[in-house]
Amino acid sequence: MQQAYGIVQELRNILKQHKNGGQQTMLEVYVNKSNVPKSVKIENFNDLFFDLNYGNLVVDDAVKNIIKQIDGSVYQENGRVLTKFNEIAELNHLSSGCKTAINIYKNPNKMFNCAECGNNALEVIFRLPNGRVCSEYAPAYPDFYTPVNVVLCGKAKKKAFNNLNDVIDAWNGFI
Amino acid sequence: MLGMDLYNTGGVSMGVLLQKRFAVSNGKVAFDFEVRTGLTLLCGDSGSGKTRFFSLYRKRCAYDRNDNIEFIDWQDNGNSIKNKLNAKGKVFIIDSADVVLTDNVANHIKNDKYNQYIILGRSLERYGATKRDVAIIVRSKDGVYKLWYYREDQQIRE
Repeated sequence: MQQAYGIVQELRNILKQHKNGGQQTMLEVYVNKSNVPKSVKIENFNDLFFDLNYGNLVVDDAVKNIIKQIDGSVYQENGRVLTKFNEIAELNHLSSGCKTAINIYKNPNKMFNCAECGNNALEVIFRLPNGRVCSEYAPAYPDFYTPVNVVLCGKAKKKAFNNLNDVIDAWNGFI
Repeated sequence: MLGMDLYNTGGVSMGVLLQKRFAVSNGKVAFDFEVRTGLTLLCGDSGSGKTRFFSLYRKRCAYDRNDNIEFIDWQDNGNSIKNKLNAKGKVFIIDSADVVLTDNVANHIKNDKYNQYIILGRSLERYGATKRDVAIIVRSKDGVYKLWYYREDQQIRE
């Protein structure tokens, strides 16, 4: 648990360093897909979105950590990873949850559907410093008091939270 | 293949148990497990091997020319999914089901008494799955990936 927390903290620091640039950022979370403004395109097929764009992906330390934490794979070089199945694979073989987290991190202005994400991917996604997602599920067994920058969005309300415990407590009010 | 007996009746999931055992290996990764019901919802963490099983087993079936099993994923559009699901006596394995299937199709699956389903997704209610239908892929001591019906087995232990 302590090790996992360490990885999360490390990931957060790297992400902040790369993305924050000193300005306030937030992860915008729509609990109910139907509350997403009609003008916003939701990327439902995270696998395809990733596969059609990963050629241009800059694999920084944050991406390497996302891959390690979600898939348990180790980034090698030239777009390849050593998977936990002990196979060398291209990045397009990452799991859907891992691809979703990378999509969100690399495209903070686009809206991604997290329907395919397992709990481990949600753990990482909810700790991203910014981005836009719709997710029917919150992480199931998170370290509740790890700081987050989440704005829950409902039909006509938005509220910012800075720890997962409060996010989960308020979750049903935004469905 | 087992007979066409209805496995579940009386307010539980409708799917028919046609094939219990699913085994495939490429020499490095091996999946070998038995499902318990006609509708199996494979959920669990990202990267746990769900899609790995799907793609490996699809290749196994293509190689064996096994027509009893149909695979559905993002490559199928609405019409092709509908056409596939019109069949009877098939085992459907569906990847990314929560985004690939519409609510209408999910509803069809919920009420289908003629086919078996292995659904890779998260939403129990959407497909009429019960606690006894939900499993995750876990790695056993011998390195083979198997199913753990964590919800039902925990309940039994309790």
